[in-house]
Amino acid sequence: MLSENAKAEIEQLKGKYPDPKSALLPALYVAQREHGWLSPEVMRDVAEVMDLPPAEVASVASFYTMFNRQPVGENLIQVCTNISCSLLGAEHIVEYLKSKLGIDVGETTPDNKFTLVTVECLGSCGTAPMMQVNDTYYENLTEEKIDRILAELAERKG
Amino acid sequence: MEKFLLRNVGVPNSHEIDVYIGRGGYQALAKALKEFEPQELVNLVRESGLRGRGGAGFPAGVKWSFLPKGVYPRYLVCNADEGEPGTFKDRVLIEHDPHGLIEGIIISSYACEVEHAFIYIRGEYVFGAKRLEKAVAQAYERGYLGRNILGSGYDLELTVHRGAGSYVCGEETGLLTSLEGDRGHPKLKPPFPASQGLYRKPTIINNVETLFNVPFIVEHGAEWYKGFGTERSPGLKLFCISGHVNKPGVYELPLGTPMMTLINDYAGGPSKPIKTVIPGGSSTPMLPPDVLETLTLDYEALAAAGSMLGSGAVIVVGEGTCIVRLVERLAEFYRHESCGKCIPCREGTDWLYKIMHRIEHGQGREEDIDLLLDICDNISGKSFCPLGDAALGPITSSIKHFRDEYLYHIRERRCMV
Amino acid sequence: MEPLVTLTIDDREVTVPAGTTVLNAAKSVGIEIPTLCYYEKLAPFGGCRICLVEIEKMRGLQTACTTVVRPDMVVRTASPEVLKTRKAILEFLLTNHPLDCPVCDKGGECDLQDFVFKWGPTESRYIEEKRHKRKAYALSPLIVKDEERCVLCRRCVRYLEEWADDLQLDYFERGRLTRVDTFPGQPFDSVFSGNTIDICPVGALTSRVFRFRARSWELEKVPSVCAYCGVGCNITLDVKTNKLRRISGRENPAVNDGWLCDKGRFAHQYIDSPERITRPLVRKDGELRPASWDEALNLVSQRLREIVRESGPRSVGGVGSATVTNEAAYLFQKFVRTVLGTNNVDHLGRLPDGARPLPSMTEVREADAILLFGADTLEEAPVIELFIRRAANLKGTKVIVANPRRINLTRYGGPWLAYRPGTEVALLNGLAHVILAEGLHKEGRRVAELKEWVKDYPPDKVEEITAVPAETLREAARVLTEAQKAVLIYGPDTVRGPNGQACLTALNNLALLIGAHEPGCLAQEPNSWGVLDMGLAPHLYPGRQRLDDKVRERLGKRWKAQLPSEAGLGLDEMLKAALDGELEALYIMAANPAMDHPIGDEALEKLKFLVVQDLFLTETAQLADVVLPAASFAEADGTFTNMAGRVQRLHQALRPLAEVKPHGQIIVDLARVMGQEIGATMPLEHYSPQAVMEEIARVAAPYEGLSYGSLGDDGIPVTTEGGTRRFAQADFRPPATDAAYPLALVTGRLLYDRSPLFARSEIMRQLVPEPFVEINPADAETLRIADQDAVTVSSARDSLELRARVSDDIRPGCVFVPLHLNEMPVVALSEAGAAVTWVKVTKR
Repeated sequence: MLSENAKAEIEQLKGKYPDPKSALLPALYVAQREHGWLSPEVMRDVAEVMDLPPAEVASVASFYTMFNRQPVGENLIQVCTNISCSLLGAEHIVEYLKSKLGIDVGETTPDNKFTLVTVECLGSCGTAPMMQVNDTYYENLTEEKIDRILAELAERKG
Repeated sequence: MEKFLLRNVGVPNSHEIDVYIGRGGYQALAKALKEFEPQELVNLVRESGLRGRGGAGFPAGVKWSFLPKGVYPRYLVCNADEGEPGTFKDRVLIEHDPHGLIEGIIISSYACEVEHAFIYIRGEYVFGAKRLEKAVAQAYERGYLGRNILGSGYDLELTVHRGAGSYVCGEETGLLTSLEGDRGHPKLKPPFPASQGLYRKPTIINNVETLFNVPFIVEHGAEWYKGFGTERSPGLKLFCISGHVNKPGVYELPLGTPMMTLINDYAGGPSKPIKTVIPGGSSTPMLPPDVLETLTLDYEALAAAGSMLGSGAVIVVGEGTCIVRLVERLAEFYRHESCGKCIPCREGTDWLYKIMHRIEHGQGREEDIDLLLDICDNISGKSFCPLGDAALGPITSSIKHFRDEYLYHIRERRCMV
Repeated sequence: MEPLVTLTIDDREVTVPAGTTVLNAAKSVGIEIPTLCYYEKLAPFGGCRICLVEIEKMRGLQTACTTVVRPDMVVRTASPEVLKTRKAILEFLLTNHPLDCPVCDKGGECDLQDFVFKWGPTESRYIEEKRHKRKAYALSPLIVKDEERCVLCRRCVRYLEEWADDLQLDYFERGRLTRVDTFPGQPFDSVFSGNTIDICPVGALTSRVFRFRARSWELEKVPSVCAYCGVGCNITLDVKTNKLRRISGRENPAVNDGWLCDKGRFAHQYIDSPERITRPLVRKDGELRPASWDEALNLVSQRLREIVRESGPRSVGGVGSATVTNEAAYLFQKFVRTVLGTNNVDHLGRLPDGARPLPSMTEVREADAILLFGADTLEEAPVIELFIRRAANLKGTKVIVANPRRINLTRYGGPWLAYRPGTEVALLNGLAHVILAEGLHKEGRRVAELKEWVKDYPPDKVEEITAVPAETLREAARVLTEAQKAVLIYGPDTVRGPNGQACLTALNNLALLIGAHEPGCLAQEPNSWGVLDMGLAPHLYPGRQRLDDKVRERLGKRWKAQLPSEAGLGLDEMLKAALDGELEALYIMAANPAMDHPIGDEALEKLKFLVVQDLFLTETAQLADVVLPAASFAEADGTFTNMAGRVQRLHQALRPLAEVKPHGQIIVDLARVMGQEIGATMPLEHYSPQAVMEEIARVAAPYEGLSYGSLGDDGIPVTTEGGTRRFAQADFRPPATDAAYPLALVTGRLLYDRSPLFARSEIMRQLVPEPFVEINPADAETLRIADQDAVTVSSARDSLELRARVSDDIRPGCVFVPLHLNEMPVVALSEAGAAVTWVKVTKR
């Protein structure tokens, strides 16, 4: 499942640390970048390259929210609903996204373009409300801004 | 006033090494390597009175002096796992002035005789991590990192390591476990990280902002630094202000600055009449408006007011906000972030949230208020790491200041606002 | 000696060694502090918080399990705050605990239940819905997991981490959603899985074998010893209504330290198997038919007498086994020698002369380097494997593995010497050569002589002979000599056969050179040492006394019998004599030579009269004229002597089924029918193992003074004399080869096999692999054999049909065939007494 390139990259990451086990989180990122999510098969491959028990790899992956253990859409929309965002209307942002995308929180659009989730504070409290789509922060959100962002994202790739 | 910590923020391409050097960057490092023995730097930072900016406020120089003599290798880990809701100051520094942080790390590593330093940055800060990685690569290229730094004979490796979504990894031992490639469960103390930390070796863990202060202290001296702030809370601090204010953002102020100066003169004043202020990040007890007028932003004054300076994240909550809903949301956060290792935090945060949820949804009972307080008492000081205690501040303080609103919510089965 | 620290706990002055935790200091004066995550054999965790206590001058409460005592500490374990906290922790746990105690197997022995009873809240303040997690699902065929009951103490995970070094369970998710589980979709596959049940403080991990078989308080607990391998693990037999419901580990730091393997723990259902023989059987018209004891014993008596009378005592013999107790073995050889009048007595799998027991378990556990020569502790002595893994994992103990086949312990990189079968002596001489050449040896007498003897074994040449790379050999030598406490362990097969004695000598040389304890044999049967001590061998009397005139006379007096002076036949010789028609009758106790001896099958068929006493109608029993139903280890009293020479007591836990009798009793009864008392009967003519032990203690020197009273529950080590240790010459003779059969056969036991008892233990038997032959990919390619191909393995003598398992676990030029997986005996491929069995593998 894991490509030879990914395996080589993980091998290299192991060398960056005094103890190669430290490369586990980076290795899981490599795997997730390649597959979009961490299936048991992929985690087993990571375990093999990392020379760790598969149970340990899966256990670590399950601790951190950023590792997807289910497939997600092309665009993972993560809306912060913690305190500062919530004070400035995060709930409304979530509702607006739900109606725009026609899905509930935790769901993926049928075209697999968007997955909508709510998340904890992303350190963007001074520019609330905000959301993160994949790696990118979108701040000071308004309905109009969301319309624009979604339109842009929908057009991207195929 | 003149900016120090934020002096490069807003300067075009401030994250580029040439811009940084052009503005006097890496001078403090040169000075430190040339003019100071490591121990002298430890003494200098201790004299400056610099206290940890992550939340606990422990004097940095004292922490450094806990390293056992003659035990190597030693590690330094920069805690960039900024996760306390309301806090976004480290992100600003990382994204806009990565070299300032790197310079602080190199000087501090030299002071602590560290050969390998790490920046543990929260996973969501993808942009910041990229900036840091690029800046680190530039610093290697220019000889500020790697072998024989600036001809001093001092070697240092610096690795940027990304977290992956876990608040408890901001706790220093949770951070170490995570950096070791494990679940971010906090570790047993003792042994303390200074004696057995990362890979069971002596380790110093400092917050981004703490390390960021170090070059200024080296450059201007301890006396200069102590010239800012109060006697027991010396120096400069970044405050992140969010919520119901007109100009939320990060502001640099000497410790001891009045709260209302921050709110009115910097943050453009409240956007609604103030109902309450959470002064130091979501875990710090909220304060009623009547204490704000005389409150100053320093460790002691906030403690005296029954709260904490914490991370310096001031969250202003305006009228019209339901306190029960707000506290329920924070309870949900702590429940979500509890690592699960210890019973009081794992089960207690779940129970607290469930009760808050019930009250918020009109299913509350009057006895729930005492029950909440008793559960808080049963968690307080009993959990494995500070996360359990962190979960309590919003609940106990909101009941203290807004008991009526709870009762209204329970009796009327709806919000007061 | 540690300095002492005095502190105050609950107003009592307590003095304990420095470094003691507050928890253990309190325990030492009988003050109970509850714990859930703490387990004395695991590193402290500090997670459950139930042991929080108050310590003056310390802020907040402290965990007693992690806080180390300091002088003048003042501790309070029952202050109002401590008690409130304790109650709170229990209340927190109960908020989401299912409280399904009525259907929980742990009920009655559950820590949570007991703690709530003592310190918990009496009413629930929790009105929210409980969290629901997975109930009662199978983690494996042996272990059931209930996620709702789990308190997440992580004991099971920590045990797998620290002891088994096989992290198959771990936490998943986090916070309130945390659960302990295996990797998605993978069963918990470990021979050490059952220990997690014993250490689970609640009913989260339970046994599928014991499930719903009894409430814990109904169980009568009988201390005993495991009867599967040579470790002699101390166990508790839990009995209800004369049925063995459960086996669990029993604390004995000198043996298993409470741990068990899954075979010892779960594979006991054979006791209740419907296939048990419950009445004597007598062959009539070619068929084995039920008969009375009187009828059966009279027939045995009459036929044995006839044959002795007609053909002389040399024409009869007795074959026992190392699976029976000392008492039964002692009576058996006494019966053969005094009643039948012959020294033709032996047992299957006898250890060769010169083999020595393992040093104590403590020495094995504390070793900093272990050489495992031709042995696989995982399959043959699992609890020792557990100890070695822990030492390698936590202390960095080096494990040097000399074995043509990769075993689990090779993963510690210790190094692995994958020698060609038959070249053991050259390999060992090579190690000695390196040590001497590099001057790594400890001072010793006659080193010069040894140097001369091994001068022809330089590493390069040894590489040619053994195929072990010269550098690997050097590394092994260095690891051995750098160790302060090296332990050498070898498998019994290593020191059997034509090269066995030379191998033993070479092992002894090596141990002397590096200043190590005598090399120890990993005896495979529960009583391999004991039966030799009892004289269950043609050339040994009890106490391993040689058969000289003086001893014979002394013993004869004691036994009030005329003892035969003629040397007896060993098992190989008896079977050969049977083939030749010179041996006419055999009495076999609990052995299965038809399967386990190369010529057993054909030889037994030639006999005029065969008696077998056993639990099941084994391949051997099926050939018998009379079959006598014998008791299992749980149905009789007795003792075993384990592989480290420790005598340990088995207590009868069950009344034997129907007409089943203990082995010893059958012998006593038969002797009486044959007109002779062989002792050890009580006035009421009941067989008394205790009295037999008293007799053994008088006759067998190492057992002198032993009695059931003195053995207690922990047993006593007995030492049989070893010879003087000195260097000797070990000659290497290259094994003969056969071009038609190019592959060397390596055999070995698997822990889970089709041996008579295990194969009749329900649940466990589904874990037995299909018969296979393991072949190296290089050889497989040459022979065009793919994984899972049906193949024939044939030697000059016989052939077997098996499935190929292509794996580099076995070195090239060899094939590995496990024993006791087939209907067909693997040993039939071998020529008795050959150093190496050569085979070929062909695709079917």
